[in-house]
Amino acid sequence: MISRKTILASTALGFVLFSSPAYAYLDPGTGSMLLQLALGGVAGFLVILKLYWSRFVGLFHRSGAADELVQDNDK
Amino acid sequence: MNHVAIEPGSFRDPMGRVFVGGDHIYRATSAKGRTAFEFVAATGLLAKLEDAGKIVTSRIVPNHVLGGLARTDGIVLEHEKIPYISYPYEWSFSFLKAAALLHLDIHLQALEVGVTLSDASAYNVQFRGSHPVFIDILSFRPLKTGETWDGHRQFCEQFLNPLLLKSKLDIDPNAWYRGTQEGISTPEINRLLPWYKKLSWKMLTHVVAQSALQNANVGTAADARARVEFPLASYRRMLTGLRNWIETIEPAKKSRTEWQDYATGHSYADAEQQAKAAFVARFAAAVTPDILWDIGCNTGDYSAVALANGAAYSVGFDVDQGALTQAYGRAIANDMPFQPLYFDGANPSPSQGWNEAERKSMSARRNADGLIALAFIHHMAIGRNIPLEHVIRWLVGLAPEGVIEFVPKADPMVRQLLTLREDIFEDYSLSAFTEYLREMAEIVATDVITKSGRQLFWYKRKSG
Repeated sequence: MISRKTILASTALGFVLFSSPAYAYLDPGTGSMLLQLALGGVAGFLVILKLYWSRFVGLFHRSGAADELVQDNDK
Repeated sequence: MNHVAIEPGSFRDPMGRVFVGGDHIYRATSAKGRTAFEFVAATGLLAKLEDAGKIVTSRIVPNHVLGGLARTDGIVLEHEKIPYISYPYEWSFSFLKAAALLHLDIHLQALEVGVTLSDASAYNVQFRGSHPVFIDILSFRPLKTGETWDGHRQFCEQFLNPLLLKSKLDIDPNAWYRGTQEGISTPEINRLLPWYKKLSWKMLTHVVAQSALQNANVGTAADARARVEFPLASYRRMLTGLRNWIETIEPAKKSRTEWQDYATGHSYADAEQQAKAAFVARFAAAVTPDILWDIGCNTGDYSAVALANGAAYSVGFDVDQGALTQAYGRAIANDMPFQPLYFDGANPSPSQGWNEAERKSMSARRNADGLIALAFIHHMAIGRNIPLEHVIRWLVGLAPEGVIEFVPKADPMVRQLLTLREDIFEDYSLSAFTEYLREMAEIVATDVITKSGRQLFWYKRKSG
């Protein structure tokens, strides 16, 4: 029924989905572009992971992540 | 020369503008648009797509045909005229799906020769009969190495998500689509779909992940794009994957609509149907309309009759999606120049969009020289409380000559409409119908076609 690829993808994307959205500048094409880069190969996928890593870590260290989000919002 | 004017819906892309002069459709490019067009034309792609009927035919014409409206550093193309311009919110599921597949096919073919599409607007697809055709020649531009698919988000909003709404949730997207004009956003479809309908790789990527990543900071996306390239093989895989997926998407099984079974389950006998067909055939043979409008076309029975007897092209309008699905199947199977569209007679498409002129109303696109409105008026006059006189005026205003069927109160279909409500329609009678029609038109012929008293009226609108 559910393929191994699907389970892997769900796990990998899980931390992105469950982290709270940053209501910064919302570009309508942001989601599409990041998705394509992630699907574009290992390099792209790793870059996306890295960019999201701070938010993931922020789940466990609230203060640091919150600072970063505030900075983002101020742009 | 005909008076040439800019098409008010053509302003988004600075590469070119569309102009209309009588029956002629022109596209004038900017200097940049000219360079892109020449690059694309040199690949041979446009000629191949034209031959395959996938894009409109175009030819370069002298700039002066636009009488000074064209830029001197650009070129002017003249395109074939599409019989009737329609919008995605007027399409059935079948139309939207066919348009989506065409878009992806063209894009895949373009990538083979180093060309891509600058957007994925569903409005760039039109229909010739029930066959989709791509019209925006200036959407083609050279592909840059490593670039992502600019139109992906738009493709999802304008094609994929409306298809998913019908397929996964059994909700027709037309009303929503007409409201937004841009389709259905991915975060919205993501919020609507229950989790167990999202357990597939395609759903997780195009719907779930895209929605989640949409919340990312725009700087994050720019950083990522600067660091990595999107390989061409991945680009192709993405388009092919979407194509294969969309090809398998069907409307939710549970939808069984009232009119889908009409051809077999309706309330009058074969002889009566034949009488109706004979009348329509006689009308079509005498009037030979270039464009027939079939108001309340159902599955297209009488469009088929008209087309077989002298009508050149038929645009069908119906509110029932199941009937439209069958009408599409019939048009494709029999290769009919028949374009069945979704419409609600009591609420036809308005002029809307930027400056209320970007998308034209149904009446502004009026181009029929013949009309049939069979088993239709009781749905408006009794089903929707629209005064009989208004319905007749509206119908006669749509085409100079046509056939309208009067369905009396004694008819089982009208009785059914009145089952649960009081009969407040004192004005609904054959004599009132005839009187209103005579005010606007000459009655060429009539025929009583059922025992219940259904009657066909062939009218010819009075001039002036």
